[in-house]
Amino acid sequence: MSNLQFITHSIIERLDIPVLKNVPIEIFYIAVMFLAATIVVGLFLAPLAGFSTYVERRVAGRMQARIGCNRVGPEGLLQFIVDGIKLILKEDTIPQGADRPLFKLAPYLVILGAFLSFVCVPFGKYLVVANLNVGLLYLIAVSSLVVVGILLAGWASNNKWSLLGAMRSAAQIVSYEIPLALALMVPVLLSGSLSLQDLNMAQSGGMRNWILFKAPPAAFIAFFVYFISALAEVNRTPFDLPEAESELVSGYNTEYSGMRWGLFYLAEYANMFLVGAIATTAFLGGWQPSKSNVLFATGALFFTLLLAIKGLSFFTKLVGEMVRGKSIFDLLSNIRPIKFSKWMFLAIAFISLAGGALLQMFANYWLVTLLMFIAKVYFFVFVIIWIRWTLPRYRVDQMMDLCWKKLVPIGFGCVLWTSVMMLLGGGNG
Amino acid sequence: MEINMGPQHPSTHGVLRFRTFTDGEVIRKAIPEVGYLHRSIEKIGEMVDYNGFMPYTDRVDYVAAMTANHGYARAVEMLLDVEVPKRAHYLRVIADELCRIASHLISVGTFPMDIGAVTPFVHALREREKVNTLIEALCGARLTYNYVRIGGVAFDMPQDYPKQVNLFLDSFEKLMHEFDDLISYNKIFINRLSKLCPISKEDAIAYGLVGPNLRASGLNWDLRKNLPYAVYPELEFELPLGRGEKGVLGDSYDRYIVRIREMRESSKILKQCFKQIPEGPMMGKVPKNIKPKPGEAYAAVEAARGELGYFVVSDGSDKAYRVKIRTGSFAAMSMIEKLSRGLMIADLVAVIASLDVVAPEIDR
Repeated sequence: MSNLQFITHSIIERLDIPVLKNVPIEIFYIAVMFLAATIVVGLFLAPLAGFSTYVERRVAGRMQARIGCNRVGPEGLLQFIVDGIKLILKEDTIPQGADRPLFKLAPYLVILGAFLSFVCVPFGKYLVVANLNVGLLYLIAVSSLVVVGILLAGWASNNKWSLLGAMRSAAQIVSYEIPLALALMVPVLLSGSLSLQDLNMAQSGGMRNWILFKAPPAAFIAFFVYFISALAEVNRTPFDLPEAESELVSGYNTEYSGMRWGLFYLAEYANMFLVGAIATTAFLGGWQPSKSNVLFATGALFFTLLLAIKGLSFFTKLVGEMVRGKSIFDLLSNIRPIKFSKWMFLAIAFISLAGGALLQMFANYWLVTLLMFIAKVYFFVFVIIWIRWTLPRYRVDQMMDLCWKKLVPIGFGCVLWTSVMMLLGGGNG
Repeated sequence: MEINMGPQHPSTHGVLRFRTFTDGEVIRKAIPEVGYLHRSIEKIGEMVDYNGFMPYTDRVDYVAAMTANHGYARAVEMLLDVEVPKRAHYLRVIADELCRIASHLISVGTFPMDIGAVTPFVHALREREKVNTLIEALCGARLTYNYVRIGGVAFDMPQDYPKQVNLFLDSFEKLMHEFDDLISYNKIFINRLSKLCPISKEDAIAYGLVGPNLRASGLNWDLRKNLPYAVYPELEFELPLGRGEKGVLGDSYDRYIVRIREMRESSKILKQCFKQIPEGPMMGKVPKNIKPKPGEAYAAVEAARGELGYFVVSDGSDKAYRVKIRTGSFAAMSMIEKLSRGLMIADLVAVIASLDVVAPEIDR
């Protein structure tokens, strides 16, 4: 009996309603499955991806000498929720010549590819949905579903620009899967397992056990090969050719609108998070506690505190004004959280440094490992955003050159070097 | 596959249309279709009087409208044979060079954006806003200036204007260094542009390219030096030429870097202008009702996109018999069909950006 069946049975027994006993049990399995999926996607994945869009917009604003979204809620934190509501309410247009069933199916395939990958990402010692023994293979396989969705979207739109974007995307994702898989071979060799949880275990005991520093310099180089290929996999700059705005209007999602379009973006940001999660798990120690976590903890605490203080001041003001009888819609866009002076920034930085050091005392506690993992992943998300707003885009042939003439040989070299080092070092690298 | 690119497309800089015939990603042929922004400006020139046409010249090239003003004013002054006071000449040069900076900022800003980097565009536009504020202080408008008058300029500059401009120029030079660090010497950027669509000197002359596009091909031709007008002979500046430093002579990177360097030269010219500008009136002696003797005149200025010429024919009445405008973008557009053969779609976008075509200038 699987977990799902077990949970379903126990729920039905607890409820103890006689009518339900006549209904076939399979219907309840499906109902519970949908419920669980809704809870996971709605309460966990969508906010994670949504928060990444918020981070992206604020970071982009900073880099472009402007502000970014700061109107809705404290420092614009509620912007992504508002955007989501807007997208759902928008008209869902389907072009006349489009292949309707395929057009509708495409975004679901894309989002499926993105969300299925989360199944085997270890967020902590016990915080993993399924600790598959072929975890990495599964990840690489499932994330390829995205390309099917994108290809469908481009073909079904009946738009030449979309088709070009989809073709580019297919070529790009299929090509870059090779260096990506090669780069991930290095951690697999070093840890001797395809399971992501085992990868984590191989890196326990602090920074010097991180796979990044093993078999020098193979793993270190493999990390960058992985990161570059992953950028191409999720269609981010400098490899955003499938949705190159200045060339292909908007690429494969040109004809999409409303929440269907939103799903493409949700998938993109979920994939960004995934890239960070795999990089962290495979190379940077995953959720395992280490001394270097002080850095990540300080950074995470700093921004959390900033947003928390702003948020608190915002909501206390909001509640205060609402008690006095003003309308909430009027208030949401008019109340401003407090402003910080330079000294307050310094104070918060100091507090977060102290907090980061303090957290080290509870480093093995599951909540702390989870927070550290997410802090590390968001560091990668930040780097991906940083790259996006700095670099121009490659041309198709240059991108293929980079993949086949540079990354693939380097990847093979890394695998070879790792094996040699392991042979010489008696299996330890 | 025949793809329609434009007239509404994110990278065609206005309403341009290309009929592109492609083989997958590779373009076999791209035919520019002009006329989507045609406003009959030349015909309007025959219907309104001489002074009344001045605001319309703003719309010939709204990215650098001062030079378009200046060219028309020069042509009519030649017909009328009026003397323009020295101070007015200096003010015109100041306005022209500010506009050249603003226009080149748009060009070098949208260029990386067409290649996928959005941040340089925003930084360039921020600087352009500062230039616009300076021009606003001069003439009260931010986009269509209508500042130059036949026989002089409309207003004198504010008293602290040299200070304002110098303050901007000092910060601008620092920011140009930042801009270079951000994008000009970026490896991907150079890879994309070097050896892309080189235009030889002979081709450039044959197709009538002008301005920075021509100088990027290595030909030393600038109306400010070769057929000097206004007070340019009294000013010292250099002409940046394409050197093919990252690829071959006359490639897209040369066209980009020439514009970056020209902005620095413009900043040099501005500083000299404020040192040398004499006191005096702003307007020469121009009759209130302009009725030139029958005849014709051609006057051109070096605009941001090269030679911007006005050919004005007078039949002795208060309206011109014919106004013909010669612009650089139109010539550049005619070259795209030749250049586009065998390019990638992504390259076509880059080439259009590198030629710095502005839609209103093509169609008038």
